[in-house]
Amino acid sequence: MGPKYKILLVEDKESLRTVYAEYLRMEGFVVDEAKDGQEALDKAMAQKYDLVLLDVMLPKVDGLEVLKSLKSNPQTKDTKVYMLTVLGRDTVIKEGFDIGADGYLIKDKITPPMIKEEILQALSPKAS
Amino acid sequence: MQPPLDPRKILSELYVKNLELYRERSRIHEIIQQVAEVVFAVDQDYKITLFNKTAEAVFNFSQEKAAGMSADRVVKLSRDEVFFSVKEYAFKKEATLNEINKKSITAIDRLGRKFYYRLNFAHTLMETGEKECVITLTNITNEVEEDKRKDEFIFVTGHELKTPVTIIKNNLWMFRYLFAGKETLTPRQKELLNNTSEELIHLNKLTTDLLDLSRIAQNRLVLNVRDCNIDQVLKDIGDSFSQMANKQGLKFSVSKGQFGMVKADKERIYEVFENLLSNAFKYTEKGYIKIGIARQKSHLKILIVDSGAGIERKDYPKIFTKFGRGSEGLKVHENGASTGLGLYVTKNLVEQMGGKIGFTSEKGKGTEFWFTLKRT
Repeated sequence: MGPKYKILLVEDKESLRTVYAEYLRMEGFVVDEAKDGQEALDKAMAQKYDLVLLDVMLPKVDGLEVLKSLKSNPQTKDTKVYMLTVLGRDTVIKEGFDIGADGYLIKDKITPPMIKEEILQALSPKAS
Repeated sequence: MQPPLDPRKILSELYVKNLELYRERSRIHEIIQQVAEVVFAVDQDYKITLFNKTAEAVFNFSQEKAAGMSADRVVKLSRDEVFFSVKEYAFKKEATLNEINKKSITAIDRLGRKFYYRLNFAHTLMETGEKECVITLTNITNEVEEDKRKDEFIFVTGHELKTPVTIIKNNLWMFRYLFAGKETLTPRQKELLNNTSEELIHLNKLTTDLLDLSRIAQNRLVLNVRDCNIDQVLKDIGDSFSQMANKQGLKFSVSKGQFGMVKADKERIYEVFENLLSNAFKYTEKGYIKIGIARQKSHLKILIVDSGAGIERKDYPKIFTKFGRGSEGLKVHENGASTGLGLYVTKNLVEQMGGKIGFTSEKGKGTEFWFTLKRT
């Protein structure tokens, strides 16, 4: 296991969030959880994360809004952000990339190990 | 001997016949005027020769004014938001005319409301040798709107189904992960778990097809076509389908070699393989299924070959159509009935990635589906 990466996991569906967080912790990541857009912004401002996994459809503040805030704030703009979405929200992915997302994951197509792979790839020194 | 002709009798008969003709003519005229369809006609110079009451209302032109005017100055229609010219289609061949309704024909009324129409062209040859083109428009706004509501419903339903399916899938995955290495499950418990996973994959595929279908119908299917490592895809696909091959007692092989990068959507390319392979597995009882790859100049050609039921020649035109199923697809198979969505969706996905798709088949011997992807 490489360095202990700090991940912020933003997902409103509790059972999904729990499984992702549980798995990633077992694999050695430090994981903070947020259940809505506001909580995500609060946490991202309070401390530095290596990567944010960001659900797009969120209560309170929409995922794309969160992304916009993170990417326009000097304090957080270098934090990698991967969008979490389900199939069929194709335009959302494009919008996300336009705002500055670093990647996306389609929840119904992936398993927890694939999330781990994506995170490691995104954070490996040669990727940046 | 014939009786002498009586001029008065002839005259009165002529008068009666003439009156009948006149009445008949007025009747036909009145029918054309009053039908719900827009009816108008143009001569060989594309000038209006006939213009009924519905046409008056739709195009906001009186018959008197329209008569003799160039059709393109009177008839304001759009075809997929582009001005539709009657000139371009009147007196054209059937093949051209068949294309017309493939895009939506619309008109905007005085109040700014949008209406959808189906166009029909008919050519008439007069006894004088002159040609006229009669054009009718049927208002299909209700059908089009109903169809849109249906597509939106399918999309919303498919989308709502995705969340629970995703959660169940992840929970099952985690369940296995937490049990890994510990021999605490009985064979029967494992079997139940495996069956649940398999059915879930089927359910997930079905919802994916439904979502894709509604996206295609709404013209909103957007792919993220980027550089994609086809070797990784082939490895993943090989791994996930070899289990199924074992279970069904089929030989399954994937072409060896390094094929590098292609232009593809990294998620949807899996869908393409899954759709083609699940068909192959569904219709192949014994023999083999293999994935072959051929390098072409600018493309990679991928072949999915099986020794299965094959496709009957009469079914060829149906294969890639929406809800189209061949005779085999209409039967209920062990692995579920066919919805007729898979190949329609697959074709759209391949084409949006910049590739082509096709097949060759022989009834009773097997089928070969192929598709191409751009090499980078």
